[in-house]
Amino acid sequence: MGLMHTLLLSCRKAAELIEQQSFAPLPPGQKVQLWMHTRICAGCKVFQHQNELMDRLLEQRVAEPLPIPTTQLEKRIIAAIDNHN
Amino acid sequence: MPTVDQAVGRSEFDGWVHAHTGDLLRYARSRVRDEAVAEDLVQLAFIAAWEGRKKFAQQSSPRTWLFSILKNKIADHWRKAYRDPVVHGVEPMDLDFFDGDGGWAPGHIPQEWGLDGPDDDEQIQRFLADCLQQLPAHWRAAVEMKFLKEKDADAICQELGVSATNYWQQIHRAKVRLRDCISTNMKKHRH
Ligand SMILES: [Zn+2]
Repeated sequence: MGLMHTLLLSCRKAAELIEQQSFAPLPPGQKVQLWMHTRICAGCKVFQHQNELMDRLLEQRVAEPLPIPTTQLEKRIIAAIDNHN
Repeated sequence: MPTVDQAVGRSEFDGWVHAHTGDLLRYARSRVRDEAVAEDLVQLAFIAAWEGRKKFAQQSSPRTWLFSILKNKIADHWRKAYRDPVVHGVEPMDLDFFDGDGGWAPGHIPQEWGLDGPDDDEQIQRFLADCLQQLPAHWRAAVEMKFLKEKDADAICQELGVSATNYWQQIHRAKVRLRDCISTNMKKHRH
């Protein structure tokens, strides 16, 4: 475990780099380390996959598929604009 | 002459309110904690749109324009939440998902969710929404900022007054917790 962590990152570090990677490319050394880590470590491989899935879902989410009644709110907004002038 | 009469008129604008309030509100509700806040943000967006109606370029769609204004209002909301010292004060302790060696702690090792078809996708969406609600406001703010913005991370960091490293670490910690929360729900759901 100790040697693997030194060479191929700890899971804590690997998970951090997985998020960091979505902001900017990693330095080449770390990129290779992360790639090797996720080849060997089943947990981090799953983490990477699920983290990507969460990013997609976070991007797409909409509160509820059904329309919500908004007549009251529309009235309120129109009144607010009336007062605004 | 390109003057006021080219800007959207009041009756046309009221038509936008009727046409788009529903979609804007659904979007806002998915991105903030409570419904009253979501409604206020939609209202603020419409007022800002009315004030800025001369800036509305006729070639773009009202819907796209209104959404971009709403996104800015939501970003303002989370920026305030992020900076709120009260929110920082009540932030619960970070659960430790890793052991002393930096490996995944027992019980927190990521395992496949075994997703299988559209029902499961919906289930995950629902768990994600629930787990987001449970996130401390400060972390929720960091996550929301990432997904709201057309802006790049550097611009967000400047607005929040944090370093880039600090910013993605916040998001990272939030997402480790989110993922764990979804997994816990998924396990319960399967039994
Ligand atoms: Zn690992």
